[in-house]
Amino acid sequence: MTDMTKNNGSENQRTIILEILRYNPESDQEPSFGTFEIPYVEDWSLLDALEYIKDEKDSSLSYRWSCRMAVCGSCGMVINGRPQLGCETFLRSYYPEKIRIEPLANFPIERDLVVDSSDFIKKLESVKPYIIDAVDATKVKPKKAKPEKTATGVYKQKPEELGLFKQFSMCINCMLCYSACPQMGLNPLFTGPAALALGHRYNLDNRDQGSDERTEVIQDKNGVWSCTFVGYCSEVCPKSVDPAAAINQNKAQGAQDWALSFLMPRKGEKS
Amino acid sequence: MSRRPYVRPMERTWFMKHPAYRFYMLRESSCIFSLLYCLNLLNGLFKLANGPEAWESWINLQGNPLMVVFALVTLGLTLVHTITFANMAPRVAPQQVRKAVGDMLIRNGLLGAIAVFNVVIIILAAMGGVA
Repeated sequence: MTDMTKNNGSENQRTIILEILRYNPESDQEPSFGTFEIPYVEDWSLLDALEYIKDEKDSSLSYRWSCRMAVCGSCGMVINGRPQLGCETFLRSYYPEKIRIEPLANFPIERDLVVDSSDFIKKLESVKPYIIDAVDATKVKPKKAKPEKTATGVYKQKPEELGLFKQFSMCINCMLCYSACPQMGLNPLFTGPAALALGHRYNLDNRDQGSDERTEVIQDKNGVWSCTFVGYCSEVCPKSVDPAAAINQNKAQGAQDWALSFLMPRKGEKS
Repeated sequence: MSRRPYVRPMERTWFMKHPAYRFYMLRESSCIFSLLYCLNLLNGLFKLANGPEAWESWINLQGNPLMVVFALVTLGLTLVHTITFANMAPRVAPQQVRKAVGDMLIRNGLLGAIAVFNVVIIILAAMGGVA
């Protein structure tokens, strides 16, 4: 039995205050905070609280959600100044203090807690986040030795080869890292943590031969070189992807390639 | 219904808004003090070349309470810089190296090397002082 049902009807029901940044594009010139006092239920996540408000207090409240278990990456929001997933943040972590909820920073607000993520999707696509086989990458000769194939024609991959990039493949595109990154706010053209980490993930994959095709985006001034290693992106990541590491490994690689380009202008080829 | 997405402006004081940003600015500010301290040392080198009197005046300047505070602030920020640098170093290392060696070895190896280097410098300075 939850506190909610226990306390129903009693006068001294515990409550908690939520301040939510509201924006209605049809009537508001700019966003402003709306305050809601709701029942305090110990096992409610912030997403449960928002659902309660939408059902019982204000049906116009807009927010994104889907899986409720930190897998889909839909319910990212800024909670008391920290980008977090609404589904894995609990009222009990804040009670009896009030909670201030804002949409993700560094994104245009579409309505209430819903942000426009179309620019993020374009940036994700720009790093070619898929395996580029040497057969497809006809422009360049394969950099890495091609892995063996199984009898069914599938490339073999050893656990240690998987371990090299697995961390960077755990991203759920929740965009918390974009909200945490001040460089993102200062330079909206920055490709950003999640997209660059995903590009790095494919570059590290032994089945992939497409690193040269990603270099233009990754090594651009709006690529890894827009990052100043604030590192907060990795702190807020709900999946421990560590995008800051991915970006800065690429800076080291880029600097090394730049230096080698003077020593070996033909990249070691004879003609 | 028409779309009218609202873009919030980035405030000039964004770096004061969050502890993570404040610490980032502290970490980055260490380079300013390191630069100023290096200029001070360089100035000392020139003074040394200009003869004993110039050298003596530079030495006396270092004893000025303001210079002592400056040296202590530089020392504190340099320690912050060193520790954050060592903490971040494994994350910048190539993933292949990182997996083979391990983060702690890279971090502690770096800190150990810096410590040994500092001890050698202090010993040399002490020997110079005696001589």
